[in-house]
Amino acid sequence: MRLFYFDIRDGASVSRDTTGTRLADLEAARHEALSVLAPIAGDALPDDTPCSVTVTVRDEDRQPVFHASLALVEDWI
Amino acid sequence: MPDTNILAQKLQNAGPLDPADIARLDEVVSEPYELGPREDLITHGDDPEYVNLVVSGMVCRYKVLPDGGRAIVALMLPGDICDLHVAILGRMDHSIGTLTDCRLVKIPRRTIEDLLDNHPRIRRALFWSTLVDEAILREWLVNMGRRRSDHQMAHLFCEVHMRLSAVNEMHDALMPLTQEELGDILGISSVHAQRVLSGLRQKGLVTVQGSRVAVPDIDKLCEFAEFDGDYLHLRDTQDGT
Repeated sequence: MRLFYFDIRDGASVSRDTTGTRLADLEAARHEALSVLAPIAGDALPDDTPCSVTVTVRDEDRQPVFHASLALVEDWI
Repeated sequence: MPDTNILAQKLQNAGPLDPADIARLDEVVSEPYELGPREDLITHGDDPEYVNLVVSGMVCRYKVLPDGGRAIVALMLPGDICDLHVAILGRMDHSIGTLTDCRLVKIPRRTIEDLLDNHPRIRRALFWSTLVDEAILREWLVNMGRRRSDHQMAHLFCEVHMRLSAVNEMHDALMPLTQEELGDILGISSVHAQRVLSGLRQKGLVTVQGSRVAVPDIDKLCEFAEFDGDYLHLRDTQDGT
């Protein structure tokens, strides 16, 4: 098990993970990062737009190893 | 009433008890034992001969999921009997374990039967506590399905605050829980729980020190969570009773 930190940027608000989460490996960390994008974006919708959420994963040395974003695009037609 | 035992304090929220009732409950609560965090009291399939009363600390009712995860479906706080229905239902369909350091009292089934058969006010109060447990479960169901995660977490904190206050156990810190445990209660991942907790902190609704959450202004938190504590059926919150 390795410790990973998940920093989340949600619109203008940034939360820096200081606790970390123990996970099996990098792939498990990627899976965790991807699985939180939609629920966190969902918390902000539909009130706070434009909506974009970015998760940056750092390893136990606090070095970034992965990042993923989810962005909402909307237009009147 | 600082000398009243924790079970009597909890049950008096249902209605007044006689001195004789309280004396009987004093006997029941006489020999607490201690348990560390993350210890199981009973697991799925057990057929226990006693029920557990929480004297201090926090206990949870949980189900283990096929992927090894855990869903926490109830919190038991000081004064709560963890598994009263076991005295009637027998075999456990879920597990019960501690979240924090706890003091507990084992109450034999036959004592529960005596309380039910020979003490009508206690019987009524135990029935009340079971109904309140159901009401809490209903509220958690609404919370999980219909509230945004930040409102859901704030709502949980308001509930715990009110339940602890009702037994005079609301001290400085509210919840000594990890993000993972909070996530297991709310049905979200620990990373999501961390994000939501951080949002509540940024709004000034909670303070967080290590894994301890404190609430600087409960009224403000209740307003944010749209919390209405009627479902806890505490006497002080009901009109004139």
